[in-house]
Amino acid sequence: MQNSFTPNPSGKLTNLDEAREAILSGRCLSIAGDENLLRQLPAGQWIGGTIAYFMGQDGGKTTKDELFITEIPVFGGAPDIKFYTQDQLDKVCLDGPEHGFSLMVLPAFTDIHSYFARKGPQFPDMFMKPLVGWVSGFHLGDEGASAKVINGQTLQIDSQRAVVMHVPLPPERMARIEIVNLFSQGKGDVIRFNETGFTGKTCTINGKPAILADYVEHNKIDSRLPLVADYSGAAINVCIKEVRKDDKEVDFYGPLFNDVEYRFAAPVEDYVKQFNQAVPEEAFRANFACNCVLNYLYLGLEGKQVSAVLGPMTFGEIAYQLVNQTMVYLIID
Amino acid sequence: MEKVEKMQPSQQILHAILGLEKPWCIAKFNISHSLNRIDVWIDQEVTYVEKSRWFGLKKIKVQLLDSRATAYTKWRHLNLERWPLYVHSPLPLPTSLMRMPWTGERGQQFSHALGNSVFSMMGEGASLATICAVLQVDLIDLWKYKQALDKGQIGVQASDAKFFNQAFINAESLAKNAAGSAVPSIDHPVWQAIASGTMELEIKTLSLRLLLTRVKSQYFIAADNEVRALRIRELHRFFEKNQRLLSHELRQIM
Repeated sequence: MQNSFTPNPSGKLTNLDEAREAILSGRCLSIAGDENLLRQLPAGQWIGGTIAYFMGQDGGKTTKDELFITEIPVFGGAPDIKFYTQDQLDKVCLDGPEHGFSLMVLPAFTDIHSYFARKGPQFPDMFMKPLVGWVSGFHLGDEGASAKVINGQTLQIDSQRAVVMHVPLPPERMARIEIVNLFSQGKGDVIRFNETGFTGKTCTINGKPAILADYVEHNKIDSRLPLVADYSGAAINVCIKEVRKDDKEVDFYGPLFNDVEYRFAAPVEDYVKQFNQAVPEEAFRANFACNCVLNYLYLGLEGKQVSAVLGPMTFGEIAYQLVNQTMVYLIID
Repeated sequence: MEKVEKMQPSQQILHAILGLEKPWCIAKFNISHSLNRIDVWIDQEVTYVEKSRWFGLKKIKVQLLDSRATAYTKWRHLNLERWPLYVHSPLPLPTSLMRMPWTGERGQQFSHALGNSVFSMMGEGASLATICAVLQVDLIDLWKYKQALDKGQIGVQASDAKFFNQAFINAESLAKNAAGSAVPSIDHPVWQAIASGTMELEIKTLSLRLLLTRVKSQYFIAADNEVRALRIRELHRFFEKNQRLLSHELRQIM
């Protein structure tokens, strides 16, 4: 499917004027960028979130002066845009169109982010309908900054709610979500956790009780490598945020679940080369894509071109449930 | 101790509806028009004989033991017409009441009877929104009930579940055969094999990979076969809804 607005269907990095024009032309859009720019946009059919990192047409870029816009194809009627509080979020998949998909933006490091990460896989109708999206963030150099989301219809900006665009599709079209994750389970020990949460303390390693922080230290594990779970063939990462040696706790950017087995990821040599090889051809016609800011930072992607699949580099990716350090894309067939 | 008057007709009706047998009785009830609900308090009655001061006649008196109860628990029971019914019972719950349909599992909000109705509707493929509307239950409460099922914390009374479980399986089979669906009918053994992990599929679809991992985990810890049947129903529904995406997977099970 060729997008008429941008040469690359997953969008492009552009200036404020062009973003304004796109909104005023009536296009349905997903927009990512600095809060100051988002606040200057007119009302229209769009949702957005704050972020300063992008994979643009000229490669990885950190900027507060440009916006990443993705045109969301509309074939089956007007999309429904709404905010969700934490109490309402359980219904997000139920509210999704019977045939179509939902695009969600969540503000990072908030209660609703944590809630979705922990409870999302159990939401009614989860996995039955496509739910894609990203976690908004901020420039890591901005002390005290907070992530925001915006409902473009009302121009309301919010730091505690999720914004969702429910997009219906006609019966002959079908949306699907795919991920590209270069990390896979290494051949190391099997780690299980007793409780679901963002912090790992006690666990079992190969069936024996252990303290994860001690394990990371004693085994000199590179904390940039995520824990990886195997979901029936899909590698799902959970990335380390901080190892707190004194507390003997390890904080993660995503939740550890108590019903899956984890292993630390196998190291990836030459990420850019391997990533470009791993991206399937169909991803180049993705209608929406995002990648993780940890990939951007850890792998030094600034100025480097990682495939032609463009999008914001985010504080978390949503491919049904929350995933980490993963490229996510949506395809409408 | 509270003295009990002779039961009013409304109390007698509630008594009959809840299937109470002595020594259990309705201590009190409240109909709230503002909250649109009926609350009923259950308690134990004891009878004793008191000698009258007059002519040495004997008088039978009934007393409630509710003062002995230190705490009450409450379950959301079935509706009485349009009125949601809440039943309060003293704690600890006596063994003789534990399987009464208006009681529920410890820590759960729904009574056994309401839980079975919810389970039945889920089995018939009703959406959670529909169940909320029909049974007048809150989505959050319903979701908590579903989570408890998913985590194997509660089961369903087999005698109640058996009938509707078979009913929906038969109905679905007939419907699917009639429609000539590419997806095997829900009573096909392949679904149990996939959910239990005895049959491994090569899966290309992300949503199925994520869903199946959850289904397998919940199937493994499910409290009983009825809950496992619900997991199978969920898996089957996914295949029905997404069969266009699943040609690779369907080829392996046809």
